[in-house]
Amino acid sequence: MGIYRLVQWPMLVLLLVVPLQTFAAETASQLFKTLKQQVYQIRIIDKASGNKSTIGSGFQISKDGYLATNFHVVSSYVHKPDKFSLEYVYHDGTTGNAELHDIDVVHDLAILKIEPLQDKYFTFNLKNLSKGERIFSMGNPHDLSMLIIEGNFSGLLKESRFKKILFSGSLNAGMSGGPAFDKTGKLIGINVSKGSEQISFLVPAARLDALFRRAKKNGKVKDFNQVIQADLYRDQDHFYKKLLKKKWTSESLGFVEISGKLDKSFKCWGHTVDDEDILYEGVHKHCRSQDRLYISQDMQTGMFSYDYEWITSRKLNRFQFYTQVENRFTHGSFNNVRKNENVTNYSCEEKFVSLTGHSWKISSCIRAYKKYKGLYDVLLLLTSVDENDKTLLAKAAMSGVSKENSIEFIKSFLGRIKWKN
Amino acid sequence: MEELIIQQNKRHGRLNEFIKSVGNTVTLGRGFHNDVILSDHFIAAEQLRFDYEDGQWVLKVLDQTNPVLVNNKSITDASVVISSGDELTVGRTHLTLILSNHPVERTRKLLISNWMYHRNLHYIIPIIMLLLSTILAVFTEYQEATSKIRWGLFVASGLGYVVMLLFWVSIWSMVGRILRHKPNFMAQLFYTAFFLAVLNMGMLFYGYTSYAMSSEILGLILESGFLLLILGMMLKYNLLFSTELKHCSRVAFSAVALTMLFTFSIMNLGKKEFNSHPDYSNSVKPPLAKWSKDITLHDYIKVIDSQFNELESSLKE
Repeated sequence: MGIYRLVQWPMLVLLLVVPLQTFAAETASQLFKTLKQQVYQIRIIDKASGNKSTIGSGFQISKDGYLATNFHVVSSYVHKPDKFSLEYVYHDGTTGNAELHDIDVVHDLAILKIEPLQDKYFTFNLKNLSKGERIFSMGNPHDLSMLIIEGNFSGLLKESRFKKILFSGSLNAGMSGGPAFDKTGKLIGINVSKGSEQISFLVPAARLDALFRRAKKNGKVKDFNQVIQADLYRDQDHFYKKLLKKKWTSESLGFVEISGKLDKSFKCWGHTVDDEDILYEGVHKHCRSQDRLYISQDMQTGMFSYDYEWITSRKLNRFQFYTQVENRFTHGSFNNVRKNENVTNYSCEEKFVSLTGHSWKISSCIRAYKKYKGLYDVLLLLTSVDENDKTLLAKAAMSGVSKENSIEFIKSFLGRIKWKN
Repeated sequence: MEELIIQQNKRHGRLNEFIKSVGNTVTLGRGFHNDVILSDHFIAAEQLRFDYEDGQWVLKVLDQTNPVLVNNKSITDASVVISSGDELTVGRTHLTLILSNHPVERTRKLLISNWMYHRNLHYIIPIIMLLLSTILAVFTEYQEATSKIRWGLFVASGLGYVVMLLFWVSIWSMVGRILRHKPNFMAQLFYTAFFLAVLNMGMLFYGYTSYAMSSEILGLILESGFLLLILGMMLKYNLLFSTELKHCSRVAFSAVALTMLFTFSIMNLGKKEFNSHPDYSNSVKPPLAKWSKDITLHDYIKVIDSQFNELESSLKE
C-alpha cells in the first residue's frame, strides 16, 4: 500500500504529460505538412561565381506571389544589385528569380515578388497572444533542410524601442526571414535573430502587415537608398523627439547632478573604482540603448549611449590626477562603420566652455553618412578642468541622428549637468 | 720647389701618415727599392713614378696590369700633372697627393672646459649629471603614475635608463677611440646626461602647449622644435668629441631633422585614408595650464552647428 502511494502521483503526472507531448509533436508535424509549400529558401547569388553568397528563409504572404523575408537576408543585393541576384528555392527544389519590392531597415523586413507556384499563403494574426502560448517557427538553418521548431510566446522585449517578440526556441543562421505562427498556422511574427541558447527574437506580424500595405500601395521601389534614408530619418526623429519631450529625471553623482535613465528601453549600469591600490576614486554610470539597425555587413546604425564618471583623488597630485583624467578622456564609439563608402571621417572640435559655474573641455566629433543624407554619427565628450582633485567626465554617442536632433540633445544633455556647490 | 707629400688613410693625429719627397723623383711600388713601398698585391713592383718637371709634379704609370685612378678616373695618358689634393687609387690602396704649398685650414678652437682636465672634477661632474638626469627621468615617470606607486618599478626603470645612457655614451666613446684615438668618455657622459635631463624636464610638460593654446598644430610645432633642439645639441656634442667633422652642428641637426621627418612621414603615410575612430585632441591638464578663455554654451552650439555645415558642404563637393 505504502509503495502504491509513493508511485501514484508520478504515475498520474506521466499519464498526463505523455499524451500532451504526443499532441504537440503531432501538431508540429501536421503544421509542417500543411505549411511547407508556403515557406521558401531565399538565396543571394554572386553573379560572378554563380554561387550563393547569403541564404535565408522567406514565406508567401499573398496569392499572387508576394514573399516576406528579413532585410538583412537581402541587404547585399540592395547595396550592390549589379553584383548579386535574388533567387528562391521551393520546398520541392524548384528554383526561380525573385524581385525585391520594398524594404524596412528599421524592422529588418523585405518584400519580394515571385511568379506564384501555388496559391496558399500565410494570413496574419495581429492579436496579442498570451505568455506561454505554443508557437512554431520554420526555416532552413545552415542550408541543411527546411524544418519546424517549437517554442513559447514569451511576451515582448522590454529593453528595445521596437516591439520584438521573445520566442523561447532556438533560431539558427539561415532561418532568418522564416515565418513564426500559432497553432492554427496564422502568422504572428518573422524570425529575425537569436538572443542566447533558447531565446530568439521575432518581428511582430503587424510590422510586416504595414510594410506589405506600403509595398502594394507604392509598387516596386526604384531607389532603395532613398527608402533606407527616409526610414532611418523618420525613426531617429521619432526616437529623439520622444526623448527630448520627456521630463528628464536627475540623479546625484559626487558634487554634480546628472540626468538619470532617459528611457525605459535603455540598459543602465554602474560601478565604483575604490581599490586601495588605485589612487583615485571613480563612480561610473552608463546607459545604452540595446538597439542596432543593420544596414549592411559594414554598417550598423541607430545606437545611442551616454555615461558619466565622477573622479576624485586625495592621494594623487594635480599633475598625476590630470594624467588619469587624460587617460580616460576618450570618446565612446560604436565601431559601427567599417568602410569609407558609407561615412566621412570624423571632424572634431575641442573648446573650453563655461557650464554650471565651472570650466569644461568639450570635444565634439561628427561624421556624415554619405548615402543617407542628413544623418550623422555624433560623439560628445567633456570633462571639468578647474579643480585639482575632482572632475566629472561625461560622454554621449549617437549614431544615425539628424543635425537638429543631435544639437537639441546636446543642449539638454549639457544643460542637465548641475554642479551642486 | 714644392715637395710632394703622399698621405695614406686620413687618420687624425697619427705620425706616419705622410711621406714627403726628397729630390725630384719619387717611385712607388711593391718592390723594396722604391721610395714608397706598399705591401698591396694588386700593385706592381714598379708601379708609379712622380717626376718634378718644369715646376710641376708629373705622374707616370709604369705598370698597366691594373688601372690607376686619379680622382676616380682611370689614367689613359702616359703622364698626368698632379694638382694638390688629388686622390690616387692604386691597386687596393687609396692615397692623397698634396703639394707642400697646400694651404691648411684655420686652427680650430678646442672645446675646453677646465673641469674636463681636473683630476677629480673630471669624474665627479659627469657622475652628478648622470644622477640628476636619472632622477629627472624617474620623476617624469612618477608624475605620470596614477594607480599604485611602485617604487621598485621606478628604481628598475631608473637603472634601465642609466644602462641605456651608458650604452649610448660607450658607442660614441668607441667611435672616438677609432676616429680620434681618444674616447672622451666622461665628456660624452656629461653632455649626453645633461641634454637628456633637459629633455626629461620638457617631457614633464608634454602636451601643455597644445592644451594651453587650444591648438594641436602649434603644440606639434613647438614640441617638435624642442625635440629637434635638444636632440640636435646632444648629437652635436657626441660628434664633437668623437669625430673630426668640421660642421658638427649642421650634421647633427640635419640628422635629427631627417630622422624626425622620416618617422613623421612613416607614421602619416601609413595612416589609412579612412579612419573609423575620431582623431581629436585628448590632452587634459591641471587648471594652471589653462590659458584660453571659456566660451558660453550658446557659442559652443554655434561651433557644433558650423561643424555640421562644413561636413555638409564637403559632401556636396
